[in-house]
Formats: sequence, C-alpha cells, structure tokens
Amino acid sequence: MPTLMETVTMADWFRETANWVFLLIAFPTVFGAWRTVSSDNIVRAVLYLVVALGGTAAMFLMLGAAFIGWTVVLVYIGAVVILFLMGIMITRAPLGAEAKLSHGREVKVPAALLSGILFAVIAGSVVDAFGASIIRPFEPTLTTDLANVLFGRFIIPFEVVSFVLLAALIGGIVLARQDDVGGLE
Amino acid sequence: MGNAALLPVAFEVILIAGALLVLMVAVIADRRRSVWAPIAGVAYLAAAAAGILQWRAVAESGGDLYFSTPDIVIVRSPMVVMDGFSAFAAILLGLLGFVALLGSWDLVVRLGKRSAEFVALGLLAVAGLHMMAATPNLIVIFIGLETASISFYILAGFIRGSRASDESALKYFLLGSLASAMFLYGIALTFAATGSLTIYGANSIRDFFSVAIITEPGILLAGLALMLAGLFFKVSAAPFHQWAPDVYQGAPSAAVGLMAAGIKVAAFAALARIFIGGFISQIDAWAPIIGVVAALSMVVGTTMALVQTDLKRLLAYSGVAHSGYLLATFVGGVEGVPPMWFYVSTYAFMVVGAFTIVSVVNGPAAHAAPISSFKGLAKRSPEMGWLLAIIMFGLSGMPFFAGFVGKVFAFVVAGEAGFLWLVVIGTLATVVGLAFYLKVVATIFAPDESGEGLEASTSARIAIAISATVTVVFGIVPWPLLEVVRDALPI
Repeated sequence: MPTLMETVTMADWFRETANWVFLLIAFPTVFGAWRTVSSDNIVRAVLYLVVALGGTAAMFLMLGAAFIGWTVVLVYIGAVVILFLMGIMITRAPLGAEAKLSHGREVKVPAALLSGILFAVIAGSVVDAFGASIIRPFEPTLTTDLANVLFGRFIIPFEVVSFVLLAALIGGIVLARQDDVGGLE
Repeated sequence: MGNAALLPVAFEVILIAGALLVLMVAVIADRRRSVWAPIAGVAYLAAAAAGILQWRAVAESGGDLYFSTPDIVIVRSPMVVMDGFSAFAAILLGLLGFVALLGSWDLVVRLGKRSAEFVALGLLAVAGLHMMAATPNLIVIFIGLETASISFYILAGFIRGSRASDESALKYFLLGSLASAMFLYGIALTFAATGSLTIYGANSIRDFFSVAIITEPGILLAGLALMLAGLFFKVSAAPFHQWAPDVYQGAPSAAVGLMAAGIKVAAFAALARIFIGGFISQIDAWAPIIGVVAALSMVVGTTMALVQTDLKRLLAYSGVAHSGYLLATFVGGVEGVPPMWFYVSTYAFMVVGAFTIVSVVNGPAAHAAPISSFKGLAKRSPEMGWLLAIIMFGLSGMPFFAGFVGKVFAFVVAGEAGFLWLVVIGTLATVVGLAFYLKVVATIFAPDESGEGLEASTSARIAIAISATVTVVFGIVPWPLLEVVRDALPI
C-alpha cells in the first residue's frame, strides 16, 4: 500500500481530526473487550463482544479497508455472534449472573499476565518500528481491486482454501455422526 | 509457463482428485466393502511418481517459479516453485503416505462406514503437507499447514466414545490453532517489516534484504520469532511439546504414524524454505534461537522419555528429542539442508513403522500401549519382535542403522557452524537416550510365560518391513540417499 510518512509532535497529533475519530472508536472497543472478559453474565458478555467487534470494523473502515470492515460486520457480528447466542439458548446454558463464569485468582493472574506480555510485545514493536511517524493511506482499497487480486494472483491459495474447508466439513460430519464403528473400543 | 504447467502442481492435483474420488466412489459403492481402497494407494504412488518426474525435469532444466496469472513481471508473485527441494519432498511424502496407508489398513477395515472419510482426510493432509514445501509464498505455506493440521485434528479424534480420545483431540485442536495463529501473525509482522510475502521472484523478501539495511529490526524479529514458535509447536520441539504425548496417546495408534511423521517432514521443509531460502542473510539473528531450542528439545525429550511406561508416550518424547537433532542441522544454513532431508526421511519411515507395530500389538484403535505389553514379543512373534528392535536401534542412533548416519551428519554441520556446545549436548543426549530405547529392546526379548501368538495382517507387515528396510539399508549404505539429498536444495 502506498503510504506517506512524516514525523509529528503530540500537538500535531491532536490537531488531526482523524485521530479524534480514532479515540472515539478506540475507547468503546477497549471497553467492550474488557467487559467481554469481565462480565459475569454470558449473554451480556456476547453483547459486549458485539461492541468490541463493531469498533474493530469501524477501525478497518477508517483505514480505507471497506471490504474487510464490512466482512467483520457481516461475518463476525452477524453470523458468529448470532451462533453464540443461539448456542447459549439451545444448550440451556445458565443465562443469569453466574458465579461459575468467573475464574479464580489462579486462572485470572496468569491470563492477565500473558495478555499484558502480548500487549507489551506488540505495542513495543509497533512503537519501535514506526515511532512518531504518521502513516496515511492514499486512498481506500476498492473491493474490485481486491477481487482482481484474489481471483488472479492469489487463485492458487484461494483454491487450496476450499480444500481446507472440505477437510473441516468432512471432520464435522464424521465427528458429529452417531453410528457404530464396527465394535471398536 | 501457460496452462501447460501442470507438473509443478501435479502432486497436489493427484492427491486431491484421489480424495474426491474416494469420497464419491464410497457414496456409490457399498460402504461396508472397501472397493475404493485401491484408489488411495494408487493416488499416493502416482503422486510419488509425479515427484520423480518433477525431479527429472529439475535435473534437466533447473528449478523454476510458477505464477497464477500471466501478469507483468513487477506485480506478479510466484505461488508454486518446482526445484530439487520440492521434488524430493513430493517423492518422500508420496511414499510415506503409501506406507502409512498400508500401516493403518487394519483400522480402515474396522472403521466400516467411516473408513472412506479416514482415507480421504489422509490424502488431503498429505497434499497440504507438500504445499508447504512447494511454495515460495508465506500465505500458501500457512494454508497448506492448515489443510494438514485440520485433517490431523480430525484423525486424532476419529474414534469417538472415549473421553481420552476426545480430550486429546480437543487439546490438539486448541493448541494447534493457537500455533497456527502465531505463525500467521508472524507472517503479518514479516510482511509489515519487509513489504513482501514471497521468498523468491520480483519484490521478494530476498530482494528486500539485498538492498535494504534494517535499522529498526523490532518488527522483523518479532515476526521471525512468531513464525518459528508456530513451526516449533508443529514439530513438537521443546518448550512447545506438551501436547504431543497426550495427543499420540489419545489418537488411534494406526493414525499416529502419518500424523507424527508427515507434519515433521513438512514443517522442517517449511522451516528450511522460509529461513534458509528467504532469511539466510539474517542467519545470525535466528540461528542462536534455533540452537537453544534444539538443545532444549534434546535434553527435555531424552529425560522425559526415560521415565515413560507407555510406548506411545515414549515415542512422543523421543520425537521431541529427534526434533532437536533435526533443528541442529539448521544452524549450518544451506549446508544443513541435505543432512536435514536425510535425517527426516529416514526418521519418518521409522516412526510410521513403530506406530504400525504398536497398532498390531495393542490393536489399531487402542489408546494405551504399555511397554509391558511388548514383553516377550520376540517369542510371540519373532518377526514383529525383530522388526521393532531394528526400528528402536535406528531411532536410538546405533551405528549401522540410519539414525546413526543422520545424527553424525547433523552434528558435523552444527559443529562446522561453530555450535560445538550443541554437538556436545546432542552427543550426551544420544548416549543417555540409548537407555530407554534399549529398555524397550530388552523388554521385547524378555522371557514371557503367557506368550500367545500374534497375528499381523499382510498390509501391516509390508509397512513395517519397508520401514525396517529403510532403517537398515540407509544405515549400511547411506551413499545413494546422500547423493540424492545433495541436490534437494531450494533454488
């Protein structure tokens, strides 16, 4: 992607309107993500996940990646979250506030530690690489361009992906099917 | 390079066509009788034959890159590469798939209605494995890895009905997905650092390093580390090995051979393609990491194997140690590729043979394989007893068996690259490792009163005989194979 890099100061950063929009999106996203893991109610946790994913989608739109943004909306918010909710309803999982949903300290502390390390590594390497330079995409990526690349240059991986799905499909059928396996076991 | 360039992808096309044909014929035919059985075997052998044709084509005209579209040179990026490296991987994986199919045939027969899916997943997995060796594009390597991994997750949990099996399959799936995600994230960061996803061709990672001087290597190093971590997990190198014993234990014995050997072949091929093909100029950054992980794998795998009482778990920990010896070849750069091929190709057949014997002795769908159940095996079935002993000698690295030659060349390469401490640790680990391999051999030849006879099917006997032959022949006369792997280099 063609980019324009220049070095800026903190004051310049706040003068840029796009950065205010970024903060407007980023804070609810982080809040949604935090509540997803901290909520004791499983339905609320899923709904907070919608907020976090919505923020991610908006972030992609901001970057000019319209196709990926709407894919996140359709696939993740639309399909995956609906699947979660349907799954919760069908399996008669506890719907109200449940103490069991919260883990003890022996799980929470290592999980928090691991997430913290991951965050530090990613944030550290991004700051290390880009520092105070601002990266602005010249123009949004068109879905047409994406399609041309996907069905042209990347046709072989695209074809192979269909066999990943075939393997997963066979696996889903095999593992879910209840039939006798000829006296094994 | 128009539409006629089918040879570079012939291996994948044949295996995928075979998988689809198996599924379709199984639907039409009576599913209880395996009329589709020969299709899978023929597909594996035809794929290996395609590999031989690729090898001859490469020997004549040299390796080449292949593209999806006839774009102009600047924007097109190669998706398939046909060179000695990929052709050797094709021959090896085709033959390995065939032997593993023979070895798991007892299980396939007993699976009844589900057997077609089992065989089709094996074919898809091997196609994915070769994809990892035959592409210069990091994304395609990832997709090949996923094709194989997803098939293996399913094979691990193929026999439902036991908690151990379900648990191990789920563990494999969750940890394996995490490793795949790490690998993919590593690719993304590498792309961010170099602006390229392809190892060869225009705008490639190689080109990038030939012109660029990296002043802030943070992102690149994080990307390389994540890619390494993902592949270390797949080859069960320490400290990413905890899944292996549980998964091997929980999966049906007859399926473990292909799972364990196939992923090692392909993941080491991918490691060589990425790090020796693409990032050879950064070898000072990654070789120490690989050296430390190699040493850790040798030590952890050997010490943990000493205390195992189950042969499947013992083989899993011995696999951790063998990953260490294999990783030791990588510190030598390009010089390490032929020893890596020699080691991994002989090791793969030994593993398939060992797990086939386990499935003969304890049943193809069994989870447990206590070493005590092999007591007096030489008396119950002299054939099985001797073959298992040969394979154990091969794995231990005894002279006159293939494992010895592989280890010697691995240590020579590591020593020449200046990693003498790694050679010392490796030699010590090999000597200590003799203890548990010889314990198994002693159990085989121990006197056993209960000694009832043991019947093995013809297919299993052929599979075991092939792997034992590989172990002995390439241990005594390794030169023909060494001659071949010398040309199995990435372009």
